[in-house]
Amino acid sequence: MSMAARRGKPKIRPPRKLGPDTSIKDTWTKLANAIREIQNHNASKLSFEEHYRYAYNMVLHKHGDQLYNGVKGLIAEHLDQLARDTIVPTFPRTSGSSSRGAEAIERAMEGDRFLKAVKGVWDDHTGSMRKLKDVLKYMDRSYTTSAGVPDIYEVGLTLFLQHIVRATPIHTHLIATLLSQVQLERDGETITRSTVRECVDILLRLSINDSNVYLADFEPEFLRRSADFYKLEAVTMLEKGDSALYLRNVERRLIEEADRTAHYLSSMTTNPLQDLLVEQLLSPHLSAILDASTGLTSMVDTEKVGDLRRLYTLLLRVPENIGRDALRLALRIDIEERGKAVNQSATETPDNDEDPKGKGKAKESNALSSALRWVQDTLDLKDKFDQLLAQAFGNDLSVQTSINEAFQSFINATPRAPEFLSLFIDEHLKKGTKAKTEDEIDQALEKTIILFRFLHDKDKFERYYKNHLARRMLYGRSASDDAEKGMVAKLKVEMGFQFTQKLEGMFTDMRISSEGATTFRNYLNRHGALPFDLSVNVLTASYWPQAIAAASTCTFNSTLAVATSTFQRYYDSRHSGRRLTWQGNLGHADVRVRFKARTHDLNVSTQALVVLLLFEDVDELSYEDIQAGSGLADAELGRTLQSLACGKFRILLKTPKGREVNPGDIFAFNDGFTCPLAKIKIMQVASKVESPREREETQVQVDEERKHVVEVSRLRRTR
Amino acid sequence: MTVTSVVRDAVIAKRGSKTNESIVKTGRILLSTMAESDFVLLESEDGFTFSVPRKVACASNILKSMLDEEAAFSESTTNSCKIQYRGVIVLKIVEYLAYKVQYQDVNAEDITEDFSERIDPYIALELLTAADFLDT
Repeated sequence: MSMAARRGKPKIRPPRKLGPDTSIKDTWTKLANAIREIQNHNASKLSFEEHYRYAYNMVLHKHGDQLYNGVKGLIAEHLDQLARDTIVPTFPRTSGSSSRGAEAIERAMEGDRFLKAVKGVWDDHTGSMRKLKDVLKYMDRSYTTSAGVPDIYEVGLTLFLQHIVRATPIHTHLIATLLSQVQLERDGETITRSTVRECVDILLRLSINDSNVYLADFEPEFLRRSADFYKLEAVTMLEKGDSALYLRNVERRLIEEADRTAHYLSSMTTNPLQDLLVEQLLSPHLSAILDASTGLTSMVDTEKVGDLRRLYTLLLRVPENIGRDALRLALRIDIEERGKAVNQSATETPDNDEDPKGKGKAKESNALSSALRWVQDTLDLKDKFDQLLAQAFGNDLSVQTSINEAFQSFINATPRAPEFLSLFIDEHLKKGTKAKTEDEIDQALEKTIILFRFLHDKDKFERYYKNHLARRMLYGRSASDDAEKGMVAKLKVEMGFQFTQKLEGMFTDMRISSEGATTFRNYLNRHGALPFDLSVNVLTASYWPQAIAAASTCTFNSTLAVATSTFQRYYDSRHSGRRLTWQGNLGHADVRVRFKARTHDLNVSTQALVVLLLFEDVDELSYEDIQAGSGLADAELGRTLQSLACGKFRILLKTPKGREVNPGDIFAFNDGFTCPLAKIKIMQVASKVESPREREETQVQVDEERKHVVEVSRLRRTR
Repeated sequence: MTVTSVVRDAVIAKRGSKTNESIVKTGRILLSTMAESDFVLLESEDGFTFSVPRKVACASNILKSMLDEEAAFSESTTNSCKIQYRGVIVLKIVEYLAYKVQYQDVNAEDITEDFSERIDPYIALELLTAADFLDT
């Protein structure tokens, strides 16, 4: 030391011995008395310095263990006394079975009193322990560290655990009371949460051998009780049979329990408890909740978006996606059920029409309307579920998949879905149906595209669509060219270029034909005019539906034959190597007919014209005569005659009378026909909806085509 | 404020007839804004009393516990502590506590004074036991 060096040899005086003025025994007696005083809240009478010095001296003179154990003994003694005096008298009466009303309130108060007593003892104990810790600070500093024992405050906590918390019978009472307080609150009673919170905090503060007393003594029992309680509650609630109510209750309980753990239990319990609730209230009862009469189906029926959203969010909590999967399955079944109903109503209507009343046209329009209804119903259903998906199911992708799968399965369960869909589009694109704005049409078509996506038999749809499109274009019924093209463009987006190639070919044919009309007129001007106007649509056979292309032709009489041959010549002069086949079933004609009363302009199909022309010279012809004269096939002829003789305007009279045309019937020109209108349009009895026989044919053709495609792809693979 | 000034500020009064020139220093209360309760009395074995700012006294853990109002021992009610050491030791203790308070927020390398230079070897050992006792 520099100072020492400077001053030469300093004399270091030994410190005065702080030797025990009194014996250790006396010191301890004084200290013990002082500790008792501290415990009895009389610290202000004591000199800290004095007693600190006593403890200091005891430790300094190697009596640390005596001091340590002595203090321990004093603390234990004091705790026992407190237990006896303060806690035992407040023991609640043996906790009876859960009851309501006054008794429950009393029990809540008794429990509260008991817990308050425990808390009081705890406060008292920790208070005096803090003082003791200060007084015995020197002991904690030197004795406890060197002896390797816990410091005195920790000892105090351990002793509290041994003598209060885990002492019989306090322990059982304490845990039971905490549980019963929780139970009382679950049953709807009011309890003093703060008291419970304080006692739980004591348990949380205490630990032995690194295991927390709360976790060791309280939580397992608490969870077990909760599981029992909710297991029972689940059963009783389910017996009421109201899923929406049940779910609301589950939601309430989840919030309550989360609130409970946050407010007066430990956050450590939050997750186990929530899992437990899900495990008891949801997991085992998924099917019961979903399938109940008030379950998913009724919620969807009544569009209870709130309930459905609750259902979805709750089921999401079930681990491993089990809940969501159950929901998906239930949704799927539900949608398929609904789909089945839609399918049924679509197929039922024609059956009803089997009775003799509904015949002919009525049947046709009924079948058509049922097709339209099917599509509309399906769209409505889809709309509904789309809405639910967005509002209740959070646009969950996997739920969406299930919904789509369900739609796919029920739509494809309807063999006539492609036809229905095409009819629906036909209805919207056709001229003269209900007046609709372009937006409405566009919307409707957009939706049909959605259904189209679900369709498996897309080739079948193409076939029908082609048929309907052909009819629309050839009969000039298409409402708007733009809408038609828009629809084809949509299909193109969905299916690619190949799919719509032929449809576009049809459009091209129509365009070229109308352009060709001008050149033909010029040709006529040069080569002499025909006795009537002629406009011809030249169709490329491969683009157009087979049914149209392959239909048999008919015999034109001399007047018409002149026209056809003129056009033939004109066409040959412009193109070589092309063969024209005349299709009488697709055209129409304006013809002026003189009746007895007045002259009418009739708009009839080409075939009807051919038939009418047969009556130019004769008044009466038999079915067979007409057939021979026109060269029409049975089906075609039957339809044509029906439109002329059985429709609204009867140009021909049939004997015997009736709606059906049969071989052997006699037809006569109806000279006495009257009608206020000058111009009359005679509608061909259209076969919009396929008859069962036609449908079979279509199926055969589709199969035929598919076989071809399969073979081609097989060939590609073998290469 | 240097260490010495703080010590001077501590009012050191002689109680009784004994006079020890080396330790009796009269001073004044530098921080007049300090309220009465912000000072505590330290009393030595041989009857010297030292009025020290509470903050300085509480630099010793034991003195702090002694004066802890919550624990409410008799010392805290009277705001005076007996220290069973001679006045000269108590003076040095107070000096050291002030030194400690002054430098408690200063980095070790910035402290230029060395307190050990101020310790008279004659009292070194006694001071050592006192330091142990007072947990300073």
